[in-house]
Amino acid sequence: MAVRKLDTTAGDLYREVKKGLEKIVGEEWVSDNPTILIGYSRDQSLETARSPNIVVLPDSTEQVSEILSLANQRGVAVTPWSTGGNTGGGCIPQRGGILLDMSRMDRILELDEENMSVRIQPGVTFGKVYVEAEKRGLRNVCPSAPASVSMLANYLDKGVFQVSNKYGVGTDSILGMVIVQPDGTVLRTGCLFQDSYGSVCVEGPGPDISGIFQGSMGIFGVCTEMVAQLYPLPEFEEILAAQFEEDDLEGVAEFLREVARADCSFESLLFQDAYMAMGMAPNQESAEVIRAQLPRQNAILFYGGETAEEMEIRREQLDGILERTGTELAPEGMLELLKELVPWKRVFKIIQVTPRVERLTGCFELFWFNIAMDEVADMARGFMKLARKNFASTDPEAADRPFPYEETTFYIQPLEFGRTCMLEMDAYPNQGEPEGVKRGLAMAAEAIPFICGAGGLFDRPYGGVDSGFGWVQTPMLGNYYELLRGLKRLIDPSNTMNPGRLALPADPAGV
Amino acid sequence: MAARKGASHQLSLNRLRELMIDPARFSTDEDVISGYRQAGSKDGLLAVVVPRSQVDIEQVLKVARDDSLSVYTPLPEGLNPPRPGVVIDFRYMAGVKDIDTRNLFLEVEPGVTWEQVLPELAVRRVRVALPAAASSPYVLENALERQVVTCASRYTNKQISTFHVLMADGREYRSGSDALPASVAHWREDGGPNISRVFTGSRNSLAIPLRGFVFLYPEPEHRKVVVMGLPNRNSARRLAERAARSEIGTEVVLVNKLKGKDLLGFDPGLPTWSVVFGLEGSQRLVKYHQKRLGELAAGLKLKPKAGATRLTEAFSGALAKPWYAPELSIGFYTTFEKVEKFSGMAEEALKGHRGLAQMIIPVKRGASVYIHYDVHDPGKDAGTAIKLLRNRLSNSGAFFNNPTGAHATHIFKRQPAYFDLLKDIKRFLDPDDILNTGQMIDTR
Amino acid sequence: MSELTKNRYDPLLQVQKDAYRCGKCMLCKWIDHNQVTDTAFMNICPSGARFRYEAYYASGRQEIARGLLDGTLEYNDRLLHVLFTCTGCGGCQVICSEQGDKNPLKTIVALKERAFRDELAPLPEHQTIIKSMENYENPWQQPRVRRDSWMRRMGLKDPRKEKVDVLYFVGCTAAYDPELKRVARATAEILKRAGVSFGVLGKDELCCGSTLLRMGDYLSYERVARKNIELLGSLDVGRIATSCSGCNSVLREEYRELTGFDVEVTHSLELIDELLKSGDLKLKKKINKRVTYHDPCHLGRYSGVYDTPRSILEAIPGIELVEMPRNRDNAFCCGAGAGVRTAYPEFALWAATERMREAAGTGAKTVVTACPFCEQNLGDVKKPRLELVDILELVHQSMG
Repeated sequence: MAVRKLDTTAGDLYREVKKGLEKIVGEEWVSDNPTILIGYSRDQSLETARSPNIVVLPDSTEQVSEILSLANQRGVAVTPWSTGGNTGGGCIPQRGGILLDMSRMDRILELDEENMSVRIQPGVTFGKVYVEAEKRGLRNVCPSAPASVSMLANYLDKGVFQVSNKYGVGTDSILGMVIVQPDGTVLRTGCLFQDSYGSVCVEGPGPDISGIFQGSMGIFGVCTEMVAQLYPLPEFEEILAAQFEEDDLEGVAEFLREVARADCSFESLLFQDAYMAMGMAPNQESAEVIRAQLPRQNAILFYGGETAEEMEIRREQLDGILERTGTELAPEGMLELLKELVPWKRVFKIIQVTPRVERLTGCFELFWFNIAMDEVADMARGFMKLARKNFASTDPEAADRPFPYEETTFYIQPLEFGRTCMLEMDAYPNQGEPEGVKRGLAMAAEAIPFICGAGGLFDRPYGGVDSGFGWVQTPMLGNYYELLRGLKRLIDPSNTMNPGRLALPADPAGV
Repeated sequence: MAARKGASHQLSLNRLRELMIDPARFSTDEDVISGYRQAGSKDGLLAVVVPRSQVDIEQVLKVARDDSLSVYTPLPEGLNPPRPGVVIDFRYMAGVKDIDTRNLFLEVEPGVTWEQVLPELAVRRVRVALPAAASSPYVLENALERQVVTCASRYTNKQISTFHVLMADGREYRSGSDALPASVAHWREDGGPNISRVFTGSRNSLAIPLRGFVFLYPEPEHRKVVVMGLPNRNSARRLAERAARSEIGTEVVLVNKLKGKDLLGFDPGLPTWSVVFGLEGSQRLVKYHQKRLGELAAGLKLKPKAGATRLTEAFSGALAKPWYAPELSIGFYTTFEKVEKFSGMAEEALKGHRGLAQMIIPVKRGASVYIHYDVHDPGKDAGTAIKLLRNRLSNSGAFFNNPTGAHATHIFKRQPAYFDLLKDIKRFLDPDDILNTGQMIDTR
Repeated sequence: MSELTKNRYDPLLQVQKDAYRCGKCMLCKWIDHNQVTDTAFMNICPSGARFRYEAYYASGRQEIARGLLDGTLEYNDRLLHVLFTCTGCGGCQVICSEQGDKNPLKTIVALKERAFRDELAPLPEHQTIIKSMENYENPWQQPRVRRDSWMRRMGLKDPRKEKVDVLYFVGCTAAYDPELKRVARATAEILKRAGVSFGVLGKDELCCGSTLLRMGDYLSYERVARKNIELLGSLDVGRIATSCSGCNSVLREEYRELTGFDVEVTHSLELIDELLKSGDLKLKKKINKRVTYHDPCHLGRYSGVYDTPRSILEAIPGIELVEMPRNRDNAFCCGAGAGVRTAYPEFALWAATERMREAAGTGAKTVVTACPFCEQNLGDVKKPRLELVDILELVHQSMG
């Protein structure tokens, strides 16, 4: 059983800092008790569990500003945490310090139906916004993460969605932000630059500095408010499933590219059978039963529109693509099973696949990167070879286990007319066992250079030093890395904000 | 800032002349230089340099750094250099490097123009988003500066994927997945924080562009331009907003009669307001959208007049070309419910100048809107009126996404923390402040 | 900690797999998102919603279990607070079992049991309950002789002396609480009116042990349960009907895990529903009320009884039922369970107030429930002040 180091030393520095924090938010919302700290020490990744020294729960931008200012003056690290849904170790403190739990900041500040936007705090979940937007005939774009995840954090972290071909990625739906910088200064970008703009959809003014804070895991500051785009909710929607043989990954990519170019569906994605089955089934036993009935590769498309006629026209377009590409529809029974097992009328139709995937071994190694559509097939094959090698089991019971560890799964999400795609390849190390962790880390150590070497870009390089993609990839990025280091020195010279990410040093003097 | 090395900079200019070799690529002729200056600005520009390649630009930057010369690139309203420098003209860096019809990217150098590239695209049956108010003929500049496109409703104004720039210290920087040597995807998001975005909308104050990958779009199966005439702006706006939110129309553009005449070059029976839709898709989808427009109008109790063939053909032709903003024009973003408010403000401020050509474009499926005025028959002080109007509109909540000069400073000063960060970034990326000195981010 | 204690079996070992498999999806904090109608009422976990730190949610408690198992966490006062502010409502269980294929409630119960094993529990406040159980065989420190005061002059049968079909198991709260004796009386009168052959144990009725179990004192609970099983097993009855949801779930579910108990157990509502459907009970008097129904955790999530009370309410003429946003298996706990009301009365009142706010939001002026614990705790709420009534009372009133 893995023994984790929990550094709960509370020296004089932290005692003073704690007093300072209590003055800002009140005693009730500050704790250095190990029972409290341990709740923030781990996520589902293979990152070593590490506790903060203090947890603080602010309630407002002003409080966050005071907290960061205090931390900055005292050289204490701060790790932001919105709802704890990070799957890659992004919120596990690398250098102790303060864990900034923003879940109390959970208000929808404004939902502008007229202009299709919503103004939210970090603790607002996808589920909360979805329900409120739905009442007004609108929707937020949601990832295949649980509904309990912070919408602000996911968008900021470049979330990718099943509607991404149509509506872009998370950053494309950000209209404005309030950022608290490491020294406590408050910055407003985009439509929040000044209050009178309303929810206007533009970048700036001037150079788009908001990008610095996107995908940054809080290393440049903390976002405490966001105005995000909402989209019309289709009146009519239907689902279509297509199937492919195991080895026809080229066919898969071509089909998805065609659908993406035609821009005729709301959501278009591909799940491999194991992944699909896990998403549909309430437990692993039934997942295996379902998997046996599924085609190897499953392209799922949601299409529709404002009217039934539009939906029919979209279907016609899709049928044309099926015919042109020689793609088969999945058996009718599969579609009915999908509709029956997954509450698909709400956007969480396949969205809750993540908790179901996590339940297998408590962990899934998410290799999630951008690649050209033409490279998908070779990349997938190469990755599967690595997974089989690293997870080939000597355990005699392994063959009976649903989804043996070497059975990697994947998900392809076309983007923007099929110009590129996000390819997610998952492996399932058992993070409850030291051997499982070892295999998982070995897999990461081989897979990340393989993927980067083949042109896959991790645009969300989570993690800390143990398992982080950022630590391997970032130094490969040439002058981008230099610029990143320079900006970190510029904006956070004390290196207090979530240190130890993206191949940036963890210690205060490191930058 | 480095100490000045020579007030006259003559040695540097000589050096640059040598480096450019071809006399056509270097000029100190006042008649040539004055074309790049703002009206009324006299000093500052010493020469025009026309590089052919990245190496040329590197050399220019080195000379500039060594001699505390500024390096400018052209601005739509002209340059008002606070410090002596040279201006780079990209017209010889006009390589169309690749037209990737499979992955839908157009790779261009900064000097590539619309006129140059459009025939190439037509032959290959792909398209690019065309500007609705371009400040220059250059494709890459338009994309990097996020200028409004006619298809902003469906495709937004973000038309640049990855790009390569040269920083002030001469290092090349590649954005997005291009930073990864093995990547061919040209994915626009960086491998970590999106720091590359800081170069967009920066009017080359932070780096000099070398090349960029602009989005292409497949030619649609079927396309039809529909024009609906309405008697006033309010009804035109309501129809456009509703249609955009129903995701009808790749292009959705509203023009008043005067703007219509500007675009078409003549008046083929323009209504007071024209709402122009570029409908695309399968034949059935296009027909359906056309029908739906009628239904939506009826639902809004509007009775638009369908444009006659002559009118729709004229607009169809216009939509196939880039639209340029004249010097005396003003464009900004807002939300739909404020269209009348800001239009009123603009018209009041410019009422002394006969003829205001107005264009309105829904952005991002009708979530926001772009408003543009061209001033016809400008009277005296039209320029001043526009400058004052810009500030007034900014203060009232109109969003100018790439301001320059005094207007930029006016806007940035409204949020000191933002301005401070911008200045810090400028100083970090351009410690000698040689790139477009004072044109957008004035660090003085 | 004694040597004996240290060497005893660790209840956390049976939940180790779950603790390590928690992927931190955080769905355990919320009701099923597909059922959300009002985002002001989406929380499912009372302790999490009140105290907000991650440790107070099921996901945090899984992490605590893991920390105790791998030796990186030691007991402290805060840990006990985290453990014993859990009411055991099972809200986290609903969504996690469906999405995560795990049993977080089992982990929480195991944590509490381990605290007892390690002699860090009971809390001083819970000590009172345990002592009361030892001395009086009920948690209310009430003498046994008063247990049958609610049934004076009712002439009810003793199943040990006369053959009856049904044992009416009253439960301690309805038997002793002066405000709630009317529920027991109402139940008895309903059964009489419907001609049901039933009896009661009166002052010889024993506590079911539910509070001990939910608090985590498994050993004490087991002692009580076995005694009860022996008594109940000795009766020649075909069925046991309770009017307390807590008693219902323990007798119905947990007693079965112990040997020797196989009598059918239902809530008296289920019996009444049958009587209404068969026509043996008729409800004639109109009660014009707009009501909302609070699903007790032990009747709903623990025993799966959701439709029956609603069916009964529908049968009462004049009753208009409006549902709260969180209803059925998404119902928000009243805050009383597992000894929380005794140990942390302020928190229990907070949870009750949240629930009453939700009830008030429906526009109903009356909250109906089917559990005396819920009634006690919800009844403490001063603002918003709504009428609180047991469903059995409504049935009784409507009988005429």
